[in-house]
Amino acid sequence: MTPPAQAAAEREALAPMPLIAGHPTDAQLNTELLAPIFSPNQTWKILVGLAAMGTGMLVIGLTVTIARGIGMWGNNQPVGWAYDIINFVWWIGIGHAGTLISAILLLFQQKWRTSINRFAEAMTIFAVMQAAMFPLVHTGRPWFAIYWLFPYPNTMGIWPNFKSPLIWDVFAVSTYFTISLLFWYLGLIPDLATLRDTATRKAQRIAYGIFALGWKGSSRHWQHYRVGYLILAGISTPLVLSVHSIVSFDFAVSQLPGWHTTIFPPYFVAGAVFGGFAMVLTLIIPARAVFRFQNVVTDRHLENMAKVMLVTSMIVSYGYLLENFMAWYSGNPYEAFLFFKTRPFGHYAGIYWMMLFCNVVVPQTFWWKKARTSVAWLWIASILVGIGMWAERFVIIVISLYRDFLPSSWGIYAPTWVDWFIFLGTMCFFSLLFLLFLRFVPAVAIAEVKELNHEIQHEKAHAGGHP
Amino acid sequence: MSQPNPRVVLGKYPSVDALYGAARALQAAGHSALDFYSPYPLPGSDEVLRLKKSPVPFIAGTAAVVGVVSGVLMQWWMNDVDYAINVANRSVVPSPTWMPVTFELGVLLAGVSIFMGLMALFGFPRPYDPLFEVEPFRSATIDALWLSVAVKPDQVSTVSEELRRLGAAEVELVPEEA
Repeated sequence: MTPPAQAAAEREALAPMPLIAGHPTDAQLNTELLAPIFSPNQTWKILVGLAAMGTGMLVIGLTVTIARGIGMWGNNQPVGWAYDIINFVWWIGIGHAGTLISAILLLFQQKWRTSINRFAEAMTIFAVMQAAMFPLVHTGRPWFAIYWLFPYPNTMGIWPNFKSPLIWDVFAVSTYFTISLLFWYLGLIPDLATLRDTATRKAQRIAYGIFALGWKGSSRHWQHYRVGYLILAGISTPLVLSVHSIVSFDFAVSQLPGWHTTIFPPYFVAGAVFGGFAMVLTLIIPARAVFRFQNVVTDRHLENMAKVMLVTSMIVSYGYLLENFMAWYSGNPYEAFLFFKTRPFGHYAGIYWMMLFCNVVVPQTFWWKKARTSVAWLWIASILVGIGMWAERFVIIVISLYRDFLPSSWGIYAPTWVDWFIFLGTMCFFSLLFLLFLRFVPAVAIAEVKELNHEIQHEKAHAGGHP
Repeated sequence: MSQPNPRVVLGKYPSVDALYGAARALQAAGHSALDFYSPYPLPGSDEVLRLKKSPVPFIAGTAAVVGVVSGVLMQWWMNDVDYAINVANRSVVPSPTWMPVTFELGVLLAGVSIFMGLMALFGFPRPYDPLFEVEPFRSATIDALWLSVAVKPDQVSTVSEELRRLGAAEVELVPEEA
């Protein structure tokens, strides 16, 4: 091989996999990405049916809880927080990957975010909706919760206590939901206009026309739009870090062994991103197969997500290590009892070891390219990580509570069927919302993919001119 | 006598260079009410159209300050004045425990005002626009680049000719608003 040819071959071998497969035109991208909306899919109908049936469990669980009270749950002294708070933290954590992908990767100009950000943002919104349900129902009387949680001028003349981390949570979660929704919708406006203009049926044109608000793709609008979108990404970045930090304060501000640690905020944020990326993979792998998005959600996207999971898994593992170190180094007998007896050998030891296996061991496979590029393994690993992160919240909440400071008040926690119905029901409701999103809204940011496509082609043309 | 309403002429261009070339030629001929329409933001369009800086950062900054100040005042008034919560007689003003809510309110107001500010700048929601009457113009959000120029009614034919001469593949006249 001649030296230039060899150099070219080496460059080819080292070059990352493409972000967009082939050389599609704008019109081709348009047709491909809008296909799920204009051509109904049989698999989709079956999945929606199943998810809708599963959502029935949520309805039953919530109805029973509201009608008979939270005594229907397994929570009791000393385990006063259980599935409700585990699920709350788990779901809100899942939401974090969405904002990370859409906002933080945008600020870092990571172009690979473009095909997956819409998925991830939708996931954020739907996950936060599930999360918010739990503390609200746990108040026992959600219809009174408005003046317990928000500064609502009531006839009793009392206000929320702003020193309470639970009130911080209310502000953090509601702000997070609002900003995520606005960010998602703002990103959707140009694509809804594309949908309005591609649709041939009048009803579709009118429906999408209403939601597109009158977008025409004017350069005078694009100018403000880009600035606004970038600032929204800028403020979402500290927001997403603050939300899970504040969720961790719910625990860290208390005195309980296993909760009272200063490492909690960064450890929770890393755990949230870790679990969130796992959920993105769990959802996107089947979705791209069913809706044939492989050209824009390429194996490179999946591989990058595996790398992010490896990094965040290491941060989480460091958190586990440091918790144990501090338990030993502090010399506090209660800490030592929790970390060296209750967690590894107690009643729930199985869940603890499962957490370590799923969160520490499984992601280590991602050091190998083969593991990162095997779609089947990525999918299985992502589900294992989802289970591991749920187990982590169980370990933190239940294991710290069931062995109290006083042995006389020790007790065992077991969830009831209502707990299971609500938990599994939220998964089905989440899936239902996600499936409806895939069918009725452009699931890949079309305008952004077109822009990226032009950038890539421009770069290629440029590189071709100067080898 | 009132001025007749200006009419909008549209031209579809095959490339960004052709689009910018046509815009510059029209500007040289004294037309300033120009706009481009494209499926994605065009790099450099701000300079060609001579657009002023966007006020969005100012709107967001002001709203963030309002959010932060109102967050501090709200917590102080509610927990210290109107319904004072005295825990162990600790000094409460300003309390570090106010930081989370203050921060969140700053972000919330900034974010909401960016969205509302954009809607106000765009004049949205505007579900009907005479531009939508031009069927080929639908390609502006799909795969085509369009240029619009607002002209006096008596200039329509000359400007249409001019757009064609400058490389427009298609020229359309937007119907008058009903």
